Amino acid sequence: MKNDKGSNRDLIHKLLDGDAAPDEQRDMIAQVQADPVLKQEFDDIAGALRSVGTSERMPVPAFFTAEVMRRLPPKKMPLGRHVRDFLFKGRALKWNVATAFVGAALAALVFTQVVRVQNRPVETAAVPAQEQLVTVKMNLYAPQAHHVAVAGTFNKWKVDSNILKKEDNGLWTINIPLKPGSYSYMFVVDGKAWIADPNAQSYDDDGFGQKNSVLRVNI
Amino acid sequence: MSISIETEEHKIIQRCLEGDPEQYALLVDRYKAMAYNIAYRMVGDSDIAKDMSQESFISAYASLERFQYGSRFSSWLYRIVVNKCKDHMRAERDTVQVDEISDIVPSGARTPEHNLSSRQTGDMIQKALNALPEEYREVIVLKHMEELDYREISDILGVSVNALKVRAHRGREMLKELLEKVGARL
Repeated sequence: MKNDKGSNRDLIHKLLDGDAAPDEQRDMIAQVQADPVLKQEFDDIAGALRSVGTSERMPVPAFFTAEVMRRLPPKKMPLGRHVRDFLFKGRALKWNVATAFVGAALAALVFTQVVRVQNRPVETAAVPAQEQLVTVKMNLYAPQAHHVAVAGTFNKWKVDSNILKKEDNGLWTINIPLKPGSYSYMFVVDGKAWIADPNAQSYDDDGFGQKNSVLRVNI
Repeated sequence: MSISIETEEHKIIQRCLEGDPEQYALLVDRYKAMAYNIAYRMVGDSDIAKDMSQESFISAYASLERFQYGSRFSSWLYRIVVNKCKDHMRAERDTVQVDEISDIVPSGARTPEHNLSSRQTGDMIQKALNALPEEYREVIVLKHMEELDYREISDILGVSVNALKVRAHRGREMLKELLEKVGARL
């Protein structure tokens, strides 16, 4: 008798676990409904779970995200990253009137000395190849898309820096000036779908089981 | 063509690791409600729940290098939340014993005829949850409040699915008895 009661209770919990096959579930429901005691037991437990499951969720406190972001510890960047940033990261020049005045005076001095010593036209210094920008045209055929952006190593994988324009034929295009080098990138369609460029020069593994498109820019 | 949410999250994590921490706000916004509610159901106090869930996000960020890309960020985060809550409860030794449940419920709520407000019902449910042993409470919260499946709960808690079912079985029986004891209408 005790065993029967135990197996009946197991039946109730199998139903509540919700992972029985549909046929098995139908049989179990029929068994429970055929036994008034078992049905009462099932209703009681299901009622308790319903109370718990439908109880009000607590609203998240205000400024939750901002507080987390403010308290994040600084990440240690690998040495290679420091070197790369030092060499290639763009910098904003901070200035004030005094330093601007000194800078202008120095420039004027250098200029007059150069003109005085060299009685010939000043040659324009050649721009190093690595500083020259090459305009690269990227495109993606996506007639159903509403918004297409390109994110990659050239814009720190930001999804809102380089937005493509849609042409009448469903082709999305953008021209991006880039320095010579190798870049990984992906298209971001409608803000959520990240897709590799089907016309990429090559692809590399992004470490997450997906392929990044690779672009090499040469002079 | 679409991409799974895991892959998108892996990209966000990659960008954080590459020195763009602002990206982490996307993950915090996405999972804060669930993390906070799990913590609240575990500890039963809104201020402590806020601390526990925020600390969990911060710990996850500090350990991003150790995140395994084959897994889900949400499961990893919830595991941190649950463990932090358990650590807190052990430290505070504030687990309410089952027999004490009647002492913490307002006396006016004990008669079935009493017309309970939803707030009171919510309080009673929380008190019943608080009275559940920790290992039953976490399964009830994750399975029946957050509606996660057993496989994900198994990932989060590091417990086999079969063991979780046993805990859920016992937890449900105990929850029913507790709610009946405090006069909650089921």
